[in-house]
Amino acid sequence: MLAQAGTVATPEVLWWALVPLLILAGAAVLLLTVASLVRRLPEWLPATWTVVAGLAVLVSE
Amino acid sequence: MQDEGARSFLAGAVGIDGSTLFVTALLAVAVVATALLSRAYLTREDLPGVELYVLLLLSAAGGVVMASANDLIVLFLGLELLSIAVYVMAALHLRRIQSQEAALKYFVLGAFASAFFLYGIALVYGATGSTGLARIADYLSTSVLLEDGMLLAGFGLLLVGLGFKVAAVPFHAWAPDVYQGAPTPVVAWMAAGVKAAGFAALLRVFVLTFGSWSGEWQPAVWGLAILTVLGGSVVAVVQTDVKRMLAYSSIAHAGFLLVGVQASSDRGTAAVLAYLGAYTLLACGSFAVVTVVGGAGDDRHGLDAYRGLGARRPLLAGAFAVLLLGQAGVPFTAGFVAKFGVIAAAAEGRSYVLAGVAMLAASVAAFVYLRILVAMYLDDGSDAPDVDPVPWGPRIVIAVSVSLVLFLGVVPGPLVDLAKDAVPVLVGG
Repeated sequence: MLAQAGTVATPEVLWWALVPLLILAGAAVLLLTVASLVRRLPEWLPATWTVVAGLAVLVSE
Repeated sequence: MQDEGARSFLAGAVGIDGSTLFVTALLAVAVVATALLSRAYLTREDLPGVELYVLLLLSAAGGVVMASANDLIVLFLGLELLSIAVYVMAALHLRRIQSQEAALKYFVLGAFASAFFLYGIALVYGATGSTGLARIADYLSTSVLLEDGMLLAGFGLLLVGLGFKVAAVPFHAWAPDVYQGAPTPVVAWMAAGVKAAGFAALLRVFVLTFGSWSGEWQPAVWGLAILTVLGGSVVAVVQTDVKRMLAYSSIAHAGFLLVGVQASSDRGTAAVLAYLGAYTLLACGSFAVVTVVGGAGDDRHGLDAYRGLGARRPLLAGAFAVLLLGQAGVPFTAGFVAKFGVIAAAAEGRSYVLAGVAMLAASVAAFVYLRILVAMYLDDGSDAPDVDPVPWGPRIVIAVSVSLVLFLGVVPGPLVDLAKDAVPVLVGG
């Protein structure tokens, strides 16, 4: 029965079109994860990280 | 995208076109500006930093989803992601009760607006059989509805939901209190990023999807636009707190944007996008100055704090003067290009009354900005509180925004051409 399942139909995904969203969401999740694991982040890191993410979105356009 | 044109994917739920790229770029600019302002602000106020940046990035992600939504449910997801993050950001100044109050007001009223929006989606689904924007547009342009009550009610509720988000009168009640209470860099994001995402959604839903039924929703948007430009401009005149003045000014700007939406034409849409581009620069720069002048505690926002600023801090006052004149729509600033575009679109669409009211409101609103200019340059500021040296983050934001406001005012071609190429397109799944 499992062998007869065949492939699952998935919608088309244009990954290049999702790059800005992935950069923003990924940067947020990564920053939160790092901040949760590291006892004390350098003060400059969150702002710099966010600015870099914003500039990356601009460049990716 | 240049090679393939507008596309939709994920079974038609998400699309990418010129307006998606344009609005995403605006959101990215607003994120960078807010982050630069926040670093200095959080250090000055001695507040923990990471949460604000995480929420800012998530809010921006929600805005990108809204700008690329090809389905009402996806639009709602983006709206909630954008909004919930901002509700928490508004509360982030833990030692100011006004910040907590602002967040609670925004959250409660925002939840109501989201409920209206969702109910509107349900009614439109009931009337058309789909939540996909392309399918709805196709259905409305090819079918004759014998009973359109459900659809019209859906239009109304969607307009209420999005009208709240962009602070259109009479759904604007939250804006002055939230702008006044929230941390100033967060207010910059609200004024620039949230407004851009809200109007992107308005354009996609009303102009693009419901375009064939524009005769039904245009009168409502016409009324909202008039109430908003006049309400925002007139009430701003009597304010004495600069943050509240800028809040009502932001409401007035939403009214001008609605003038362009009401035109329901490619020219109107391009004018709205150009206005959003100019306003993003003006809002980020203006709130950067307000952040600096606000001082420790973020509570020096009365006109008294600006008295004599021209003598005490001439460069800062000069920059703020350029930004205020830009907001007033004075020629040779990007604000003039923006206002001209939306009023011309209204006139082209034969909405002469709306165009006239918008021009009148612009004149009234100019008084608001002139009050601040008079305080800065003509009032004695010897007993006004000192302004701390401008940190490098706000310095960059102010310098870039002032430069671009002046450049685009003299050479508007890049902004206007980009906006014309960014008119949204619906592509079916």
